Amino acid sequence: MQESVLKTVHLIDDEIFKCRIGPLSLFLKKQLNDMWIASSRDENRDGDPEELPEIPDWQRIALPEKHQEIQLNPVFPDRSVVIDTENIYRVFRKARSRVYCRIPVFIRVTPKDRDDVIIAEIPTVILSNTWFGDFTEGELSYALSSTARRVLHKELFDPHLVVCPMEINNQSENELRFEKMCLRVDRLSIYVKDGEMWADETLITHHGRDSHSDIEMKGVVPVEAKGALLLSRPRTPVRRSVAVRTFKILRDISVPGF
Amino acid sequence: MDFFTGLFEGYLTEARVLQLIRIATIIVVGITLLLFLKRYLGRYVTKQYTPHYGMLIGKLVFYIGIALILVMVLQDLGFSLTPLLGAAGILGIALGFASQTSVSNVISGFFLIAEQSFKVGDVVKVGENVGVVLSIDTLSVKIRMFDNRFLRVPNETMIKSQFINITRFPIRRIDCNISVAYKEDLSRVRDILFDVAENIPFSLKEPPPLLIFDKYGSSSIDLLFVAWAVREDFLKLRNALNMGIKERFDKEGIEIPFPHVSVYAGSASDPLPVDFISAGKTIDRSDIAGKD
Repeated sequence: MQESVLKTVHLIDDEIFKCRIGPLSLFLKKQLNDMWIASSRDENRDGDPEELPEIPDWQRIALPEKHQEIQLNPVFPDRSVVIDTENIYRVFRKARSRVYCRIPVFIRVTPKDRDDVIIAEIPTVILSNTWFGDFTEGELSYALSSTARRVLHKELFDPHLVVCPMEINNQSENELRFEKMCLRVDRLSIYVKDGEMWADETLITHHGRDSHSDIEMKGVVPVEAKGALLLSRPRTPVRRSVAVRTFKILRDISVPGF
Repeated sequence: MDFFTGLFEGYLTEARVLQLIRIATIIVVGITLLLFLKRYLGRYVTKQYTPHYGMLIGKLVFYIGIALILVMVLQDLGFSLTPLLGAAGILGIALGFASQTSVSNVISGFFLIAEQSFKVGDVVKVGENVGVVLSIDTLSVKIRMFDNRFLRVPNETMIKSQFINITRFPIRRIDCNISVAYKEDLSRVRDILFDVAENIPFSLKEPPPLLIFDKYGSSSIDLLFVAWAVREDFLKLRNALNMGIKERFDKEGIEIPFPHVSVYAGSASDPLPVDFISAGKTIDRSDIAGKD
C-alpha cells in the first residue's frame, strides 16, 4: 500500500498517466514545462483507475522548469476536521478515553526532490464544509462522514485513510459531554506501517467547560504502529502544545440556527 | 518699465528671493514626503491590520502634515499665529453656522469610524442599495454597488438611518421558500430537502439545515428551508440549493403547485351547474346530455 500512496511518476510529454488512490482517480499530463492535472471519484476503493472523464476538470500549471519526475505524497486536509461521535459522548471526570478516527488524505503533487514546489493538492474524498464555533466567530472546517471509534479492525484501513489516535483526558471537575470534536490536522504527521497510514497521537486534556482544551501532539509514532516510517511532515510547524476549542459541548446545541 | 524695475528693486530683494525659495522647498519637499509617508504607512497598516485602518492612518498623517506645512509657511512669511488662530476661531464659528450639514457629516464620520459598524471592504445595504464600502471619508461613505455604480452616502445619513452590514459575520443563512401541493407526503419532502443540502459540499453541516412549516397557503403548503454557508459561498449555495431542490422535486414527482382557485356553488362536493344560453333561449341541460 505504501507504493500505492507514495509514488514517483515518470511523465512523458503529452502522455496521460493515471492512477487510483482509494476512490480518487488521478490524471497527470506534461507538456514542456506545463503540468495538467485532472481527477474523478467513484464508489470503488481499489482496482484500475477510471477512464478520463469526457469533460476533464484539467488544472493547467506552468512550472519554472521542466520536471520529468513527479512525486505523489499523501498529506492531511488543509483545514481542521470535525469528527462526529454519532451519539452524545460522555467522559466522566478524571476519566480517559482513547478513540480513533479515519481521515481521507489529500494527494500532494510535487516535482521529485522538490518538496517546496507544491503543484497541486487533490482531495481523495470531497469533504463537506462545516462550521466549528458560534454564529459570530469560529473556523471553517471539514465534516468527517465517519465517526470516532473505540476499536479498530483491519477492514477499517483503506489506502486513502489515515488513522488518528486520540487520547481524551477529562481533568475537569465535571463530566464532559460532547457530540463533535475538532481535530487540528495541520499539526500532524503521517506514518506508514505495513501499508497502513497512521497519524501521531493527539492528547486532548479538558480542564473545564469555559476553558479551551490543551492539545498535545506527541510527534511520535503511536504505540499501535511501532516502527512505522514517516511519510509526510505536518503542514504547520509543530508547536507540541496548543490551547484551542476542541469539543462541541451540549450547551451549544440549544443555540438554534434560526 | 520703471514700475517693474522699482518693483524688483523694492520688493524682490535677495532676502525675499531666498525666503520664496525656502517656502517653495518646504511646500514641494513637504508634500512629496507627506504623500510618500501616507502611501507607505497606508500600505503597511493595511498589510498588518485591515484596509480600513490603512485608509484612516493615511488620511490622518496627510491632514496633520498639511496643517504643519501651512503653519511653517505662515511662520516663514512672518505671520504671527496667535491672532490668526483667534481669527480662525471666529471664522470657524461663522463657517460652522453656515455649513452645519458639512460639520455634521464630519462629526458623524468620526462616530462611524469609532463605532466600527462596518469597515472598508464590507458589503453593506443602505436603503435598497447594496455594495462594497470603498472608503469612509470626511463627508461621506463611498460605496461601489454590484452593478458597478458609485454610491455616495453622507456620513450623517449613515449615522441616522438603518443599514445592514452583510459581511460582518463569517457565516450566512440561505432561506428557500418552498411550496408543495397538499397531496404530498411532508416527511418525504423533508427527507429530499435535507438530502439535497447534504450533497452540496459548501452547505455547512453545522449549523444544520432546518425545515420550518410556514403555513397552509391558499394553493399550497408553504415551507421555509434554511441552510448555512460561509459568506463567500452564499450565492453559490443559494443557486445550488434552489436548482437542486427543483431538480429533485421534478425527479421525485413532488408537485410545486401554481396558484389556483376552486369555485363551488352551494356544496363543495357538487359540480358547478352551468346553463348554456343561445339566441335568447335557455338550452335544457338534458338536450346537451342527449346529444353526447
